Formats: sequence, C-alpha cells, structure tokens
Amino acid sequence: MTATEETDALVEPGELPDRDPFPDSPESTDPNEPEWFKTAVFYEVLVRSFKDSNGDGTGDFRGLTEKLDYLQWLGVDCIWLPPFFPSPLRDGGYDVADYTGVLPEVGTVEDFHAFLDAAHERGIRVIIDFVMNHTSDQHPWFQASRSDPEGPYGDFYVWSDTDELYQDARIIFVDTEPSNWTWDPVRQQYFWHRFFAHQPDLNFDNPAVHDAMLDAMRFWLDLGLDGFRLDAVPYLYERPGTNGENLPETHEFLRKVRRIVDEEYPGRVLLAEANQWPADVVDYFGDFAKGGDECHMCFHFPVMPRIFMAVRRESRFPISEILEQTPPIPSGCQWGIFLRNHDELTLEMVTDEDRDYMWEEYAKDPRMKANIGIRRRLAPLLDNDVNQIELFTALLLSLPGSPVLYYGDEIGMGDNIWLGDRDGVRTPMQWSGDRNAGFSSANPGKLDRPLVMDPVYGYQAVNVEAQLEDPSSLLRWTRRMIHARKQHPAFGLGSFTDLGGSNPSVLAYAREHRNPDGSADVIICVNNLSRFPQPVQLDLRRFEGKVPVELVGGVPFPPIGELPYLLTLGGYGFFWFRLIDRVEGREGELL
Amino acid sequence: MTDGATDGAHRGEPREDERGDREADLAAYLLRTRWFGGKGRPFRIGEVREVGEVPGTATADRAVVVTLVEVRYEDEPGGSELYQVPLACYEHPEGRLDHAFVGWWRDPVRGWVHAYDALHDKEAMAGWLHSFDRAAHGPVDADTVLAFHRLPGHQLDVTAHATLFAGEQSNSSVAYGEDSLMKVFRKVTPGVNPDIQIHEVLTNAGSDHVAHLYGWLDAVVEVPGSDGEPEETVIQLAMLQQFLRTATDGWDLALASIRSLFADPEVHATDSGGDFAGESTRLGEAVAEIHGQLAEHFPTEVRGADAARDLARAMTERLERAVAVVPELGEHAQALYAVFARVGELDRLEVQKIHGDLHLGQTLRTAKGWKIVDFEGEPAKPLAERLLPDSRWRDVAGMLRSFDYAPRVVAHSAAAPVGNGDGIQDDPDRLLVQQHQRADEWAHRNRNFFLVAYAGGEPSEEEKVLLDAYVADKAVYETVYEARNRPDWLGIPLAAVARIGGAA
Repeated sequence: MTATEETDALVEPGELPDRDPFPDSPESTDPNEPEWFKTAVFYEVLVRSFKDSNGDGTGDFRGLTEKLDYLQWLGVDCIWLPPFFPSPLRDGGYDVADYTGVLPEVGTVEDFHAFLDAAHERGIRVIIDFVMNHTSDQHPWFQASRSDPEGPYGDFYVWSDTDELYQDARIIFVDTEPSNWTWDPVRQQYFWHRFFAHQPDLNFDNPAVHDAMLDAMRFWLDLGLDGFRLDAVPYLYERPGTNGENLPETHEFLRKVRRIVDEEYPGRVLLAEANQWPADVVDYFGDFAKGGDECHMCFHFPVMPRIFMAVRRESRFPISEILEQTPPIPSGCQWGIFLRNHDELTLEMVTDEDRDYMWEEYAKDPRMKANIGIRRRLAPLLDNDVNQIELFTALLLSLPGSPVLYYGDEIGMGDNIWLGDRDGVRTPMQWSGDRNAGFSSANPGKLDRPLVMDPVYGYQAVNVEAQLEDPSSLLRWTRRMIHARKQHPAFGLGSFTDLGGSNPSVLAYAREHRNPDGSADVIICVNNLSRFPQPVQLDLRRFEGKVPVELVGGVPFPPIGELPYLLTLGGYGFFWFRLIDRVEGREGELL
Repeated sequence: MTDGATDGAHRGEPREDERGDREADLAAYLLRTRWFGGKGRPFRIGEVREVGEVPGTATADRAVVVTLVEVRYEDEPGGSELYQVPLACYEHPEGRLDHAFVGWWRDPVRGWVHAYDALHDKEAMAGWLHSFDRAAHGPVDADTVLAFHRLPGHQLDVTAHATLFAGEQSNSSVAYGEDSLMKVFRKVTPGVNPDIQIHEVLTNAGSDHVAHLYGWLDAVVEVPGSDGEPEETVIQLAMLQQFLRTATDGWDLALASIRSLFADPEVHATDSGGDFAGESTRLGEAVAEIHGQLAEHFPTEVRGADAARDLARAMTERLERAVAVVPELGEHAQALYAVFARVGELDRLEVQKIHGDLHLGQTLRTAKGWKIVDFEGEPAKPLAERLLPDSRWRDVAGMLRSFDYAPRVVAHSAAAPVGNGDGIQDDPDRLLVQQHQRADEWAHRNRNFFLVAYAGGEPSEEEKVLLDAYVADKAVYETVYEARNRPDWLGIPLAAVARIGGAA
C-alpha cells in the first residue's frame, strides 16, 4: 500500500471534500458554451422610460438607438430590455398580448431590428424579456380559449371546474390576489394564474403551447437577438400536492428550449428569473456533467438584500454566509447579480426575521413597500450617500457573477413613491436639466410617467449632462469602475475566496483567474461596510511576495509578506488591487 | 530521552571562558516571550529536559528538539512551572532566524549548537505537520517518546507552509497554510489537557461549533511522584485543528454593533441597524448545543444540598475578601449575600463538563456560524480543578458579563457623543446620559436574547438562582480585578453589582 492510498483511507467513506461554490472558470472554446455573458456588464433599460424620439411622451426604440453611444461610452456589454410587446400594460408589459409584435407607442419590429443592428455595430448585445408562464387576458389565444373551449386554443390555458386544485401553491402577489384561481363568466370555468388575475397561465401540458412559444422565440432570434431573460420560469407547470414551483416537467421544457438554442442559434443565451434559494435555482442551470443544459445564467436573488443588510449591520457575515451557502454551478454557467431592478427590492428569499429588518431599515414609509419587497431606487435607499452608493456599486462589480445595472442608478436617480405599484422606480431617464429632463419634447403633462422633480433627486439636480461635465461625478466614477473591471477577466471568470480578516466590518475577497497563456489574474477586493474608518489585518500568506497595485490609480502598495497585511479604509471605503510579481532590485533601490 | 536532563555547569567539557550558559540564555529568552507567566518574579531555570527530537527534522547540521524548561520561583517555596520550548539547534548560525535566537551552548550529544525558537523556523515546523500526517497510520517513530495522534476525517495538506501567529497571549499557534492550525501549549502540566480532551469529544460528536480537532501531541515523561520516586506521566504538548479562514473575534463583532448604535444617539437599541440580537441568539444556541454534547459525552452529576451550601459558602467568602479590597462593594454586600444564600437553600446542584472561561473573546464568528474556542478552563486555576465538572451556569454568567462589558468598553474609547445641532438635544451631559441608556439597552437586549436562546425559553427558578449567583460572583471578582488593575473601569462591575443588589 502506498502512502497515498493509506492517507486516502483517512477520509471517511461517503465524505467528500467541500466543493468550492465559485471555482475559476476556464475560457471555453466550445461554440455551444458561449462565454461572453460571463464577463459582460449588463444594463437593464425600459424602452418607454429611456428616450422619446417623436415627442409623444413615451420612450421608444428610435430614442434608445440615439442613446447607444452613451451606453457604449459607459461600458455596457449587454442591454436587457423588459417586455415591449403589445400589451394592455396592466403589469408593466409582462402581460403580453402578442409575442412577436412591438407596442405601437415604442415603435415597430423594424425599429427594433434597426436598434439591434446599431447595438451590434457598437459591440453591444441585446437580450429581451420573454414571459413564458402566462399571457395577458387580452391575448387572442386567451380570448379564443374562453369563447371556444373545443377550438385550437381551447387547451392553451389551465381551466378547471373547481377552484380547489393545487391548493399548495402559494399566492405571490399577496397585496392584490386572494386566490390563484379566477372565475371566467364566458367559459364558465376557473382559470389558473400564479400572478395577477388578468394574466392567465399557459398550459404547458399542451404540446401546441410549446410550439407556439418556440416559434415566437425563433422569430426574435432570427432577427439576431442575443438571448432571453426568461420571466417567472419556476411556475410553468402545476401538479396536485406540490407547490407548483421547480417541477421536473418545467426543467424538461427548459432543456428542450436549450437544445434548440444550441443547435440553431449557438452563442445566444438564456437567463432565468427564478426567485428561489440558490440551492433550488442551481437546478435551472441543468446537468453539471454537461456544463449545464438548461439556462446559461440565473439571477442570484438572496445576495442582493444581504448586501444591504451587511452594510446596515456593519458586519460582513450576511454576505459571507450567503456566498458560503451558494452551491457550485455547471462550468458553462454564470450567476447574474444586481442591486436594483424594475421590480421591488424583493425580499422573498430572506427569512421572516431578515425581512422585518429590511423593512424597518430601508422602507421607513409604508408607501415604500410593495408586495414582499421595497420599491425604491438605489440612491434613496442609501440616503443619497455617495460613499455608500460607490461601495454598493463596487460590490456589484466585484462579487462573483455578472453585474446587472439598472438604468439611472449610474447617476444616482431617485424614485417617486407616490406613483402606483412599481412605477416609482420606472420614471424617465434624466438626461439634462432642460424641459422634461431632455427625455422628451412632449408637453410635460403628456409624459407616460412623470419625472422625478423633488429638490434632491429632481432632474435639475441629477442628470447625465451635468455629471458628464463633472469629472468627480457618480457617472464618471461608475464608468471608470466598469472599465477597470473590463480589463480583468478575474472579475467575471475567476474563483472567489473569502479572505476573512481581523475586522468583522470589512469584507475582503480574492478573485483569481488562470489566463489561457498560463499567467494568473488575481484581484483582491477589500470593502469597509462600516460608516467609520476601519483597520483590517488580512491573512494574505497565499500571495506572499506579490505586490498589490490599486486598480484605478495604479499605486503600488507594500509587498505582501508572511505577516498579516494591514490596511486602513475610510468609512464605506474600498480597495481593488491587482497582484503583480515583486520586481527585485529596481534602479534606485540598489545600494 | 527522559533522562536528558543536563546541567551544563557540571559537564565541564568546554573551557570556562567559551562555555555558553544555556540556563542564562533560556532565562533571558523566557523574559522576551509573551507567554512566560513569571515576569516580575525572581526565578531561576531548574531542570532542562530534552523530551525528544521531532521525527523527520534532523539534518546533518540541525536537530529539532522539544524541550521542557522548569522555572523555579524564589518567592514561593517549592513554586515551579514547566514551559515547553521547542528548539531548532543548528551547527552554524542561521541568519534568517536571528529574531528567534535563544542562545548558543555546548550540547553533550551534538556539540556546539545555535539554538532558535523552533516555532519561527518554517523548515523545522514542517516536521510536526509531517508527523501528524504519518500518525494517521500508527506510531510515527518508535525511538521517540513524542506521540503524535490523529483523528480520522481530514486529509492534511502536507505542502502547507508554517506561519507563527503573532499576538497570542498564553500559547503559540502555527498556521499550516489555510488548512490547519497547531496550538503549542507553552505552560504545560502533567495530565490531560482539557482543551484537547473537549475538542476531541466535540469533533467526534460532529459539532459545528468548534474548530475540528485533527490531532494532538503527547509525551510520556518521568516526574517525581508523591513518594519521591519517579513515575511516568503524560504531558500534552500541542494540538492540531481546523483552520478557520473566515473567522473574526466575536468581541470585535459586538463592538462594531455598539459603535453603530452610539452613532445615532436618538435610536434605541431595538431599532438600531447594527442590532446584535440575531447574533446573540445564534450564540446562545451554539453554547446550548455544546453544553448538551458535553453533558452527553462526559460524566454528569447531581450533587446534593451539601454541594449547594459549599458553593454558596465559597461565593460568600469571596465576597467577604472582595469587600476588604473594594470598599464600594460594602453597600451592596447584604443584597449579594442574600443572592448567595438562595444558592445555599437549593437541594441539589447539577454539574457537568463546561468551558470554564467563556466570554465573547472566546467566540469566533465565521461564514459558517459561531465557533467556541479555548476550552482550557480558567487559566488561574490548577489543572486538577479545571478538569472537574462544574455548573453550566458559570459559563452562561461569563457570557452575560461579557455582554455587559462590551458597550462600556466602546463608551470608554469613543469620542463624547455629539448631537444633531438642534438645541436642547445637544446638551453634553444629556447626551452622555443617553449614551449610558443606550449601553444599558444594548447589554440588556443581548443578554436576554442570548439567555432565552440558550435556555430555549425562560430559565426555571432554580436556574435563575444559580445564574444570578454566578453573575454576582463574577462581577465581584471583576471589581477586585479592576480596583487593582484599571481603577477607571471599576464602575462597570460595580454597576452590575448594584443592579443585582437592587433586584435582590
């Protein structure tokens, strides 16, 4: 028996060493494993709120196309567009009435196509939302289904004579919906809806529904679209005795979609919105051995509220813990992370205790709450404290996963909590201090959504034009950080190691990536989550002999030795370092 | 090797003028260390015993020798202590280890050696790690009395480099990469080391609340028995544990919470963003789980009324002695006697294995939850006493006192509170009073959350009697300590004593 075999025997049978949640990701050359999304910076923009080109008060694709230069300048790699399909707009467009059309107010399919080509010319990719689970009740499919149960669409939705079925499925929009069943007086049956009653769920047990959805997806992919964000994927199927989430049939359908993407449209991606715990979300990546055979990306929902909690508590552990509990994902996959988006700051994936805490700390006015979340933008959530906004953005750009920015947060836009539902965080982009913030030439009363006009966040105070003039503005700072990130594949591809450290208010981690040429890209991020200045001693022995160089300014710090590495940070301060080899005996240092 | 005791003065081989004085060098070395407990006392080096060479470390010009140094105190008849000093002995000077130089002397076996504190020597320290690795398959080396033991379940990273941790008070710890940590006990006593004993049991029980034990090092040595004849005994020298990369001291985490509270003077502890109650709850659960496992795997005992009376008497006597030192205790003494008297009326006293010196500084917060460390018991007590079962409420009382100290320590070092600049609210005296209130709120809130989580609800009447008494006893001890060492801080335990007295 060799020594090695003997040593192996020490590990008890069945006990595997812990798997690293965030291993380094080698750069793949497999066309079926497109990698661009792993290093991309995403930017979510609402077409109707970004730029109005024709003065009708609503943003449109031509306006968005005009602003592509701005997004390219900012450093955006991929634009994510929430639904812009024809819709009665009772749920921000997630109530789709035609999967292959464009809402007339925002343009035409030709406008979209021109926008897509213009984005591609600038090296910017585009993904769009795709709502699989349900349609608007105004969709012709539903109208046909309710009026002609025996017709071709009769079985497109989930109909039942009773509202007793699937009682184990929770109600998601608890503020508005008493039940997941609603009576239809036309068909004289109940229909199933996991969200609003005006959004009937499609019946995925019907193969014709599969075909209809796949045809719609092909329509956009044929135009050159780079992928889809799949909305509300956990809820596609219903089965008695289950909570109707994450069912095996749902995964089977996603594998089918993925096969079509891989075979017909290699390089395009699927991003799942599955607001679930990471242990459940990880299933949406699919088979580990195949590098993932469902979605390329999934949002990591719990990490976002944990960032807010950690800063309020001045303790790194809310973040450290959730990352520690994150399961590893297949090699061809990536997490998506975000601070804010068009929805409320969702608190579904926190414990009751943590939710109470978040409400208490971040939603002091009851109007700031929406469903199980907080409807506020980043800047007002952080009391417009630029140090905190920068710290949060630095965390977003450096934690494992691809960052998704929300339009307007790069200039610190505010919200309007007096608008209904989640419209408060969907107000027009503030381009300048001119009329209508430069968003539209329409009569101000005609705007689709009113501008933010309060003295702190109003467009006279917060706008792109002013911040472009100001070299120390949040906008310019954000751009510098995005560009710093883009120079280092470790941010997107690298492993993540929590470095611990003597100070519980300081979150420090290493991102390490092995380049294809064998060289290493090593980034160390040190974040002070406290309002007070803090010292920290870091155990950096694994990097002994290296020299940390601050990433933005390029200033070398003292080399790393065997002893704990001492850093001091200002309140909410942070450092990004890259590690370089120590250069011995430089001129001027020799005796 | 147990007869390795030598006394250079009697060897007589080197000429008087070139003989290194090992005893003088060792004495000077001890005074430079953090962990030597005899500073300020007159002492001389007694027996210097070479326990054995660490297997696999010998080279042509190096020997790594675990040495036990007896320190004899001249201010206490028969008073002596035994210190472990692993030495890396080189034939030639090793410049890289200059900072850890102990001395040079003539060794009877090896000739002239330059001796260094081996814990600073990465190459030498690899020997311990490799020996622990090999110990998984039986005795490492039949020729040495150094016995390396291993627990199953973890494969050591034998390529890891050794680094000595700075700043530790009473022992020395060497990290092997990010894989394992070896704690080298400096002041050693023949017999079982409770830190190893408890870690072994909790590791085997699968506890999530300790750094798992990977192995330990014993030596069998001869010591003079009670009849003066030599007898064999085990001395436990070191233990190897899981390295907790993401750990931070629980005390520091608590202070961060309090600083956050004090920063918003108008905000109550219940509403503070930096609230610690969740952590206190998890800590209470962790301590309860550990106590449960200790009760399961070590002997427990239900003692009778006699034991309760003895405990009450001991507490009462400590109080009597304390009043003599701290006159301010006098006004609360009657109330405290009443607290102790209630213990004397109990008809039973449950005892079990406990931590013995529990406070926030013995807790570590990691990304995987709370860990409890240092199960050596109260350092001031003799080993035999530390091994005895005791009431678990002693541990709980230690934690409660720690929650009480934390906000006062922050108040002590923080700048005077500053108001919002809106007039009457900014009166400095008022702000200070307010900060005191916030400190009280924080301490009260976290004591409660810890206690309720620990006890799984309200403690019973009997448990409260014991807990109150242990808290009072601990606070009385603190008044004496503070009066002697930090008179500025005396107010902290005195306030606790007054509170207990007031409630009694």
